[in-house]
Amino acid sequence: MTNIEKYNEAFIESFGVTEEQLPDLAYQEIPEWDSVGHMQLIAALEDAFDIMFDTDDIIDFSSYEKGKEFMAKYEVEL
Amino acid sequence: MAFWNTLERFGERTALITETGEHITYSALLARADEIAGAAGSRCLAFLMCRNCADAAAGYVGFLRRGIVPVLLAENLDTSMLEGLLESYRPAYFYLPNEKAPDLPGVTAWRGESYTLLHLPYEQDYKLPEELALLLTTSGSTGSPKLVRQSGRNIEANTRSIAEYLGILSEDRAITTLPMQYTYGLSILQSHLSVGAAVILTDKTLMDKEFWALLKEQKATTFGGVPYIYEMLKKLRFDRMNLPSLRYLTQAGGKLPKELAEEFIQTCKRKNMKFIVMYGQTEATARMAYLPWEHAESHAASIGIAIPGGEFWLADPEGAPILEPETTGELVYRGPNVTLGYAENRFDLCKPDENHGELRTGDMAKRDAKGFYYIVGRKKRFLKLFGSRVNLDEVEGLLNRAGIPCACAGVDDRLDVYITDGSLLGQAERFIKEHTAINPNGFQLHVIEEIPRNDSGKVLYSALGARP
Amino acid sequence: MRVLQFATPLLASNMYLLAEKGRGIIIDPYGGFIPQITGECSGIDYILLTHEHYDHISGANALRERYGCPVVCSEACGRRIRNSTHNFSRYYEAYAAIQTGEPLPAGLPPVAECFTYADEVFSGQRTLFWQGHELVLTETPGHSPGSICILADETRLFSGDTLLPGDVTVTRFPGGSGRQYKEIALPYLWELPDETLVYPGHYKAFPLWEHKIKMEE
Repeated sequence: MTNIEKYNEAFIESFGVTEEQLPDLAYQEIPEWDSVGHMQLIAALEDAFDIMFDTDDIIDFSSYEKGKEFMAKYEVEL
Repeated sequence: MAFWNTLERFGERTALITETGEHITYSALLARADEIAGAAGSRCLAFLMCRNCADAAAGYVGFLRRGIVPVLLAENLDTSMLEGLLESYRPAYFYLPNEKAPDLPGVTAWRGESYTLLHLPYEQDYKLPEELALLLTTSGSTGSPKLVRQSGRNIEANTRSIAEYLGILSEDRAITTLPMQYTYGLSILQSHLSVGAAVILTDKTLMDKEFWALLKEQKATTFGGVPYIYEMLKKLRFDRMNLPSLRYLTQAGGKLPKELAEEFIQTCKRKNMKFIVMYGQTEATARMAYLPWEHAESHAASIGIAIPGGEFWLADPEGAPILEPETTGELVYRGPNVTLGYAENRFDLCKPDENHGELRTGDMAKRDAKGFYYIVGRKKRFLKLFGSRVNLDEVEGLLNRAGIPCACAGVDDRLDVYITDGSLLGQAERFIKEHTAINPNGFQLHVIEEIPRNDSGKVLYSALGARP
Repeated sequence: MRVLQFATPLLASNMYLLAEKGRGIIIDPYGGFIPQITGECSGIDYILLTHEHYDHISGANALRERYGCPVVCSEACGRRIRNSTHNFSRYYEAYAAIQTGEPLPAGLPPVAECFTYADEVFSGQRTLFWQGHELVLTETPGHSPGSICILADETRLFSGDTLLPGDVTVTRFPGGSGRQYKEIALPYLWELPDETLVYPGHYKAFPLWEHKIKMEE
């Protein structure tokens, strides 16, 4: 799987959404992306890319698009 | 080449400095050391009652050079405990302060300004194996303290490693703050001698003016301390003292409370001194880990990394190595400084190497992504009875060997002893009262059907349950 | 046997102290109540963990050291508390900030990484006989792999986060399983008598029948 595919997969698995829904996806926009869902997503991304997020980044990771910036910070090229 | 055999090369350099300011060169030290040991003859066992003075240090060095195995003992050792040790081990010689010599049977083989070498009348009905070099006590509250068997290789390896990671220079001068029979105190003496540095010997404590006067006069560059000493330093307003000669401080013998550690890291930084936290056990000669001073601030709670020549790994509950970071497991150490094992009497002295270079520390720890270790807790079975530490496995062993099969468990202030033979109840109670230092109000005996064990024969302490 | 409840500042999770004849058992340890514990008991015999989440285990090391007693939990719990990702301590500050919905705090507090370990573990079920009482510990995974319920004298249930008043049990945390909850935890709960008093991991105690009614609705 390419990195972008892994990234998308984490969202799809954690929230049960389709690929089409991804670009607009943001925290609390859908019932599945609540605080608990957020932890699921973070855990899935950490697992998929073998990284460990900083606390600030976990809190600031507020949307699918914003998240891509964070991945760059952890040296993951999407 | 063992460092104690190559001290000649330091010739006229100062080896020891006494409380009165006398400087003793390496050649003078060796002359004295070889004279003392020469009076003892060939390889044998010798008790050494320690003081931080030149004669004691010379005796120790002399014994090592001659292949005589010293048992280092505290000066204030309980009389009955000393008698017990003498009976169990029957040393050929006792090297002790002059005032104490008349209390013992024996012939004076050598006498110096402060110390006497006594030849004791015991029959030598036991052997000393080639690799055994030193015996140190472990803290025990059960009346018959175990001795740790250290080999020449253990001492040499650990001493070299310590001198290396501490960066001890031949210009250094350590001032003693700990007794010589304590592994930390001994390692300070040894590591400095091994590089031709000097040791300022004193029995004065940090609470005595004379200690600080000596430190300043003789320009000590370093000293070590257990947590209690750092508490004292704080009370003495160490941060306000003017001690320009000090270059680095070390800390071991327990975990320094977080605030105190942070304080000293900052104080040392301000005074341009290195602060080096260390971790070890007598069972590993002295040291297993150290926190490099440049990481002290960023890794304040860590014990650091393994000393040069050693390595750590973490065991999961099944005993398999934990490969990923940030997970707790039992800390296991491998290295040439892992000692041979214990001894409880003179016949145990010829036991072989039981550890094969690996030591289960009994501490639970985790490793971070950078490879620094952090202690999380203790796994060893012990509890506190009214403040005294009691090792549960030790008590169990004592009773089992006395013919009373049992399992020991319990909680602080209540030791539970489970036996299977009801007819031994009285005997068990008497044994504990007479042969251990356990407070009679601190233990309870229980008779059970059988001691629960798992498939591999290990006692299932959790199944003993706390019966009402 | 007295049951004392202490609400902790960690997402208002509960620590419980069972006290009898001067001895005690702690469920879900938190390190900030030592004076209160000491006021009730002269010693603690067990520290029990209902599950591995940080807000229920934070005081394990401190209390184990203070009282010299073993930390007991299920085998799955024992594995997971050793790792700061599995026990969620690594995410705790972030999760708490997100949960409370407050704007990001100016200076973030240090990460509350928790590394601990169990002294005794069990799988399936384990019974403790203590001071004349019987405590049955049963594995009830679902909220988390290491979740258990503790039933004291057949009348009082310490449910951890497996059963909370009002809320539907959360099984969406990493490691949680809706299937395990349905197949193992729910049947266990359903079997218990209606009058069982439930002491949950968060919020106040309530009788089981209140929840059973809700479940039927």
